[in-house]
Amino acid sequence: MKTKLKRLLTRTRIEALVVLLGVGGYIWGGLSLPPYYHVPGVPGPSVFPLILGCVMGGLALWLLIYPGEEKRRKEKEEDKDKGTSGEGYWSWKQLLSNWRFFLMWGLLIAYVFLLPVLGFPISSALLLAAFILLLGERHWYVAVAIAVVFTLGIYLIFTRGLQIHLPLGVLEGIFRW
Amino acid sequence: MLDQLLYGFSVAFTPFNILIAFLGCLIGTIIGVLPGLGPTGTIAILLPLVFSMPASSALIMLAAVYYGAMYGGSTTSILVNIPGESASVVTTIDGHKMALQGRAGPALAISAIGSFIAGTFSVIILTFIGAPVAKFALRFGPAEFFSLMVFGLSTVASLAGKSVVKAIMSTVLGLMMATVGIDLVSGAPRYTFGNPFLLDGIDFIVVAIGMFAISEVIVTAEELRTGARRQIIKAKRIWISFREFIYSLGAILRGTVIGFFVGILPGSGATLASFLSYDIEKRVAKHPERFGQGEIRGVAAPESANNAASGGALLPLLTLGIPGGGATAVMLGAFMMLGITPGPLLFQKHPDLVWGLIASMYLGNLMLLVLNWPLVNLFARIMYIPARYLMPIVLVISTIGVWSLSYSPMDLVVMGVCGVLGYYMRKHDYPLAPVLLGLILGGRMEQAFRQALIISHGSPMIFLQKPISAVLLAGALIFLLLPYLLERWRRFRLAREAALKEEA
Repeated sequence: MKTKLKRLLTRTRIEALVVLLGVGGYIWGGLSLPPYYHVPGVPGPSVFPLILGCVMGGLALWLLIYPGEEKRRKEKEEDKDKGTSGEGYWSWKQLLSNWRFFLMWGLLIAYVFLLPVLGFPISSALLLAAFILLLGERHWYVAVAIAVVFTLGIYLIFTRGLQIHLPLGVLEGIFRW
Repeated sequence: MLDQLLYGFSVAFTPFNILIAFLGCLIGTIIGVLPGLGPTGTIAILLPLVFSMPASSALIMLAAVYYGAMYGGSTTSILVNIPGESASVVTTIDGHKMALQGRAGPALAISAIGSFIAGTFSVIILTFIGAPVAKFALRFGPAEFFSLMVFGLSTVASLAGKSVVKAIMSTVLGLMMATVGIDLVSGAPRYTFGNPFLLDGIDFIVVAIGMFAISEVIVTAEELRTGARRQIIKAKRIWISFREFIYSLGAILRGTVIGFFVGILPGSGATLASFLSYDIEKRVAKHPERFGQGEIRGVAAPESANNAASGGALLPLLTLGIPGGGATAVMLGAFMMLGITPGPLLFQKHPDLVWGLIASMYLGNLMLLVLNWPLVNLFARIMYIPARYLMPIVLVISTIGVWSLSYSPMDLVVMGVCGVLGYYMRKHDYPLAPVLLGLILGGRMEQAFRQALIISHGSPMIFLQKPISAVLLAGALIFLLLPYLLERWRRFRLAREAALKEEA
């Protein structure tokens, strides 16, 4: 029973279910707009989202019924023979061994959130150094040097040359340039 | 008409103006190459510079900056797989593949050459058949617009990987993203979750950088680790060969015609034109399977089309006063600076300006080609910077591009979300380009849809009763189903042949 469920719940089917869930929320969000935005006789703001939601839902259902996994599984096996499979990430052991992958995502998300707070120079220099190292640079000093030089260069070009304001963040109190 | 055009050229082609055009093009390209800073941003940055110039020079400078920035946008598409602006999204598909094969030079070169040829032809078309065509464009009401957008969206079938359903899902995702923000018809805030930063909607750049740039960095990291990323082959030739040029000439010309006529229709002409021309190129090609693998025609066609579209977009601007796209909106601004309102009378009242404008856009185009010679050399070398240095730096600059849009932390968060989404989609056969197409066309499409329904008092039959609209919708259906039917037919034929052989 369990194996049967596992065989039925292929990746594409799970995707389809997630999409269906999202579509449900989307349609619900569209329908729950306050009624005073609707003028009688005129297509209101929820008509288009409703249509889009239905189309998307229909497509997700299609994927749920015809995920086309059989064909794909064969192709995957062929890929594996060639040694170019990108699918290996999805077993837990490999997930753990791929700590770099998760560290990069973590850093990216942190960067996006911390940029306005920490300021551009510090967060960017840290991100640059970390990414250059994670991408395979062997010497840490090269990574740090590139990170610092480029951060400063980019900062000067954008703020001075292009008049784009970049947040200084915690440096705000120390430097005023 | 021709003597007036020549007069315009004589106004535009003074040594000072040529210098200005050169500088504008150079600055535009350099800023446009920074991912996230597209033509509109570049022009906004440089606008103060233009105020002090005489009117005709200001116009020329703006046109040159615009073309430069457009070209800069295509450059990032080709080199690092990040579309700099919406009209070069399609260019990433084959352009970046070419760059990975060590053919960045030819890809950049054909993009400039195609743009120039397209620019030349669109000026010619504009001069001779401009007026009647503009009248035809007037017959495009909301219903026709909506159907045109549907037709444009149907081109995603040819961008699909293994599954057309997934490609359509990507498109609908883009359309859904476009519904975020204040609804322009009723004023209702939709899907903003009470966040004031989302009222303006989601900007194209935020999604483009999130989906393309972030996923590109992570994918590069994986490829570096697994050794799947091969060393980029040193190019033998930095410019394109004559043979490649002849090979792509047909694509350039088709792209020009499509671009010009789609560009006339106000709205997202250039983007729509680039997708359409890629689609058509793939359909007429002898080897459609080469598209997506670094086919030079897949770069030539959309790049020509988006350039021709800015020529076509001049028509509604000059005859109706409606800017058809980014370039013409800026031109409209320049007109306003001069105290002139474009409209039906402009051709009679200020012929010098009209033809001066056309000539200055042409000059900008020409400069692009001239500049391209040294710049291709320089840009193609960017490919040889080791990816471990290049990609993080590109990421940081892209993030600044997103930040500079409205200095909103929310944009950064949306970018991050799009990054995660984009990575997953990319790994699992959901093409990314359709998302951007949907996002760009979505707002206008919804407006046209609802306006049409208002006109028809709520009857959806209006889309079928208007002949142009009906033809476009039928075309969209055929475009979507044709590959599927052809495949069926091919299989059927193969099976029958096999059966016949067995009998024999």
